[in-house]
Amino acid sequence: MKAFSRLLKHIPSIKFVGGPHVHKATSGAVKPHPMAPNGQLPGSASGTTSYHNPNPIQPAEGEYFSRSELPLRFRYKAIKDSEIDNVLSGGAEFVY
Amino acid sequence: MLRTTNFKPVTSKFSQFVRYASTKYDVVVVGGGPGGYIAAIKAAQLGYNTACIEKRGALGGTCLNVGCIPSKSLLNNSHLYHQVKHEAGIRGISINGDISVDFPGLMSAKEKAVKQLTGGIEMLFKKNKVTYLKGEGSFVNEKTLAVKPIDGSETHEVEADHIIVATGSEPTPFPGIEIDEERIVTNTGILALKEIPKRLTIIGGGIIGLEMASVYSRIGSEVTVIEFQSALGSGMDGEVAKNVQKFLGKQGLNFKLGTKVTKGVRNGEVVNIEVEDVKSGKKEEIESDVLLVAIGRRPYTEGLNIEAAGLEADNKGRLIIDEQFRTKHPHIRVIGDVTFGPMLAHKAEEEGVAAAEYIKHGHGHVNYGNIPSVMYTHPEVAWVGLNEEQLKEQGIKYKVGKFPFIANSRAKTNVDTEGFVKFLADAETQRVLGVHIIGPNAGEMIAEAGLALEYGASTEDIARTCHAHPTLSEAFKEAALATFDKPLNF
Repeated sequence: MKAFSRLLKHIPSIKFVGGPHVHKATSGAVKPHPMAPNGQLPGSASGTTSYHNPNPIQPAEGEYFSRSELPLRFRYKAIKDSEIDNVLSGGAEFVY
Repeated sequence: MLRTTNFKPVTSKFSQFVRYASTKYDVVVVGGGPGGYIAAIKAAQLGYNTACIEKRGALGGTCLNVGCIPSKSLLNNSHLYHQVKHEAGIRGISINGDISVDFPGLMSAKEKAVKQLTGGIEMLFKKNKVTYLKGEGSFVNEKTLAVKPIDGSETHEVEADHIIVATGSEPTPFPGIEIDEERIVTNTGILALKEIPKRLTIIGGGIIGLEMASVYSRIGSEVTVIEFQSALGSGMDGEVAKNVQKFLGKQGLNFKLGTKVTKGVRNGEVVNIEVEDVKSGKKEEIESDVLLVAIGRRPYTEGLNIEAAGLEADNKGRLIIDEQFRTKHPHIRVIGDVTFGPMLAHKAEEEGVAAAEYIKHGHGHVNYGNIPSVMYTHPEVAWVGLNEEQLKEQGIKYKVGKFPFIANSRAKTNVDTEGFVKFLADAETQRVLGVHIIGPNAGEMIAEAGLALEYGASTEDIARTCHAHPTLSEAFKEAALATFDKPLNF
């Protein structure tokens, strides 16, 4: 107990900010995204609304990139609830 | 504390899953990858009637299905194989009989991990009452999306007060090289090869390229990595990148740096590649069984019909947003790979939470100066914050503290001593500016650096924090100490 109270008196050199945090809603003013090159803004006419990828990757005829494009019999079967439970519980019998 | 209550199946608490419960939602998320599914769950937790549209047929996006997760399975299991085969003797383990790779087994272990995790997200959707719309979403107008179900049933429309676009990215094609996902492959095809290629050539010395180079080199392929730049691993600290090349070179990988690819053509069961030295112009021909194109990724908006909503993209195809992820229509937000910033799953997740919070509360938080990067080779490489080259460019005075794993007790006992921890701290205040690790467990250790950066900690704060002995993390503490004092164990 004595040791514990000593611990409480310790003053950490890192000044943790504590919580729970109270945030104020920001102004809502439109400001550039921090990672936007040259401070681009939506609606600034610097972008295009008709962008298409150059060199799109297209599969050959009869081939598919995504399983979801294949006929039903080739797709993943829906996972049963019991399988999901098994995965999530990891076989545990207790719930924390 | 354990409670000895009877275990009840989680799903029994929830109502029956309804595929198309409503055509009007508070929030609709397009894309079920790490950004999209997290945004959907967070929005639902904040009380919104939420739907998530995903056309892949499985949640988790590129990361879970054909990216981070399957590659980690292959990396981990190939590393175990390599260790058993090459290091058993020095660890006092004798093996009677052959050690060999069961390649289909390796692939099936990977598929099992993927299936379990994607199924886990479906369960999380049920738990949080997110409606999962399995289909392709495309804008009809700025408030309405058409959903074309993947089971071939009739297209229907959904309306939403708020829309979050999280459609991710796809591999950047190499001009003139035709991908067939069999002999000339992207990250999708390399994770689903039918056999171990005798010769594997990789265009791109970034994270994807080097991880896959490691996997196939360990299980027997002769691997050549071609990189246009004169150094590997874009974004890495220069000193770390040099060591990556040294360590991976020792493992048998061949590197052709400062080399450009001029041709890559499949001829039957082989791929013929022509390369040219950037400086000298000297040409060379390479024959390979498989060619992996890993030169980067680009935003993916195929089928989304952004024109109908009037969304704008920049010259790289990134959807243009403001600092609150809003497009020119404030109710349509964009997160993850399809917009600005590094294409990383954990960056997308942070944005997913922040986007939902902006909708609900008008505030959100993503610190773009504190996004860690990890490469899961062996040794692992991880970094966060600024590197030496960036600090020099910005004219910031800094101090360096390094500690090698060769002097760390746990690394010694594990016979796994390659690499070091490197701190970069402000010369005056000792505030941590960047941490760069190459070595065992770097990917886990970098989390401590992230916490330090977020709190604005100094290297002395870290050096005065007790770290357990013997652990690899003592190297982290000692490197912090080395920025302002002498390390104790080196």
